Amino acid sequence: MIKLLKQEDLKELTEKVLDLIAKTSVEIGHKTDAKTMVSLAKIFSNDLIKEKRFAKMTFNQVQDAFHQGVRFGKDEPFLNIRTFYKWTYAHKKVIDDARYQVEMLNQKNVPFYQEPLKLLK
Amino acid sequence: MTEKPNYYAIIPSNVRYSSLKPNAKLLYGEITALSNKLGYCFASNFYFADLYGVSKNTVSRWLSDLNKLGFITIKIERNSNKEITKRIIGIVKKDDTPIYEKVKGNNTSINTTSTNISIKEKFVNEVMTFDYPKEMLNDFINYWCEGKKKMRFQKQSTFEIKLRLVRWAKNQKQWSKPKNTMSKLDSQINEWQKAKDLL
Repeated sequence: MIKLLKQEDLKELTEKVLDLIAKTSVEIGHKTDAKTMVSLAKIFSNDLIKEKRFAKMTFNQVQDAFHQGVRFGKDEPFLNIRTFYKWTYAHKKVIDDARYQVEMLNQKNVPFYQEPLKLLK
Repeated sequence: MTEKPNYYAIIPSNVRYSSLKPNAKLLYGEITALSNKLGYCFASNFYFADLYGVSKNTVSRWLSDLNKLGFITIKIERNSNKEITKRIIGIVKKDDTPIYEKVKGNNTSINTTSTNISIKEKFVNEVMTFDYPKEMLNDFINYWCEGKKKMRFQKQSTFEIKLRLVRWAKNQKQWSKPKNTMSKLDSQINEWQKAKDLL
């Protein structure tokens, strides 16, 4: 079941973020040690839950943000919180734009558009 | 002075690179040019002095320098009254010098090679006296003897075989250390596993 970031459990999210960071590290071609990866995962997962600007995003969207950031990011990719923020925030804008195009302009097949999650009763 | 000097003069490497004065080396060449057929000549100090526009004393000094270093021999013949009748200046021929090869009828390029070979032989012999593994010594020789006109070790401003070998052996130890053969991806996966355990 897909959850909003603010609904995620910190421990579970940290594990998922760690996997994402490890994958990104390989994609970038950096050699990152275990301690650094753990620290980054803990800090970033905490940020994702607490930051209001990411509250309505889901983890799979963060994964997309990293995927796009590594491949199409303007700057040289680095494994640090600042870069993660850059990628996630840039992708959030893409998502918001996609939502606008679908919901306001009634366009179809817009990339990165995700149906709003139904609230649990 | 009945001798006519040869068109070419020969100055072998041991003379060329000796500590002699440049003109003394030139005089050696002149002697070789004069003594082509017999291997010695009878030219007087006056003859050389006139030829080079220097004093007889200077020529005498050059000759004695050449004699001291063993490049020439000077033999003086006297009559019954002990008066000097002849002075024979001979060239000391060494098997490994180019002059020896020249007499045999080789050209200069071969002479250069033969000099190089003899220098290399000396180098190899000296290197082999040291107590290191043979393989390492061979590697050392192959590396330092590279080059056609001049070998690599000759191009060094300073070269002491003993010290170079000490350094070589030290480097050998460092180079032969087992290298980390794990791929970058494998090591990254290992780090990921460690990170998971740390969480």
